[in-house]
Amino acid sequence: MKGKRFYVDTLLKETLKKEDKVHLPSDPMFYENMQTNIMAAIQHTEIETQGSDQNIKWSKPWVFLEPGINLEEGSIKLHSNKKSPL
Amino acid sequence: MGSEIDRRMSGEMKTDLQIVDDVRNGDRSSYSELVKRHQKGLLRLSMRFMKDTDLAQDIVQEAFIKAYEKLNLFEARATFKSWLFQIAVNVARNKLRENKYHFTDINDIEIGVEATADKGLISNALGDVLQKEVDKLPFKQKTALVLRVYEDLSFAEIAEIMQCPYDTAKANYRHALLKLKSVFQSRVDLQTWGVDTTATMGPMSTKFAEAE
Repeated sequence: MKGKRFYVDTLLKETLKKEDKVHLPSDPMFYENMQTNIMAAIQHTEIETQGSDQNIKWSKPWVFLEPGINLEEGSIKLHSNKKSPL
Repeated sequence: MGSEIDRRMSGEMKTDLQIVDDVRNGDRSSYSELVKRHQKGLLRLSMRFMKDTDLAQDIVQEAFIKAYEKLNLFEARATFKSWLFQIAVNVARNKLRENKYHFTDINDIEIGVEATADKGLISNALGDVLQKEVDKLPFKQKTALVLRVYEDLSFAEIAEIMQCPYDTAKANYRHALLKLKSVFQSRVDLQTWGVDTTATMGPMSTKFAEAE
């Protein structure tokens, strides 16, 4: 039973490979152009420094817990980005 | 692997890791060599998901740019190729989600195979049917199948690319294979195929011997 399963699996994989519909462009110019385009884009790209995302996004997540901040209404200038409907 | 070490020893050709280090140290132009080495493989992988050369080319370009941006995150636990494949698979998945590309033509009519048809015709029809079934697979199952069958990668490499445990990668592959097998078995009379396929079974048997 296991032998038959292996046989069918192998036959299936062989058929999938044989009937592969993906055909890559054969023209070397195609790949040269692609390489040129990618390198042109790379010229305007910088390698990100490690952890830069975190520093920008989460620089002060717990600002409301910092000591010394007076939590009385209106005493700290915390504003929402949303525009007032008024 | 051995030849890569030999080349490294003789100074003939730099390895991917050496080039990555060069790029990290500011030699931007060295990245061109990495693009040259891997663009074809990446295009082939992308075309399995996008079915269109232009769209696949976009995936390749985006993957290379993302890889460059995140080069400092590459830890060399896996090969650079595996890491690139991982990025390309993620980009392809996002593109498919965003644009909801549908590649199945509803007007496609399933090709009927008559009992008198020759083997070539049977083979072509079977190929079409199997391809349609592959396209219907969920993304993770299709990814595992593509990487295993067409790219000849090990389950460890597939797990690395799919960012999942080894067993999950293997399970995804098995599920994909099971779905295809039900279609495959209903279409093929194994007895008649046995004679022709035993010749090709030799190399395949050893190749796929890895605990499937």
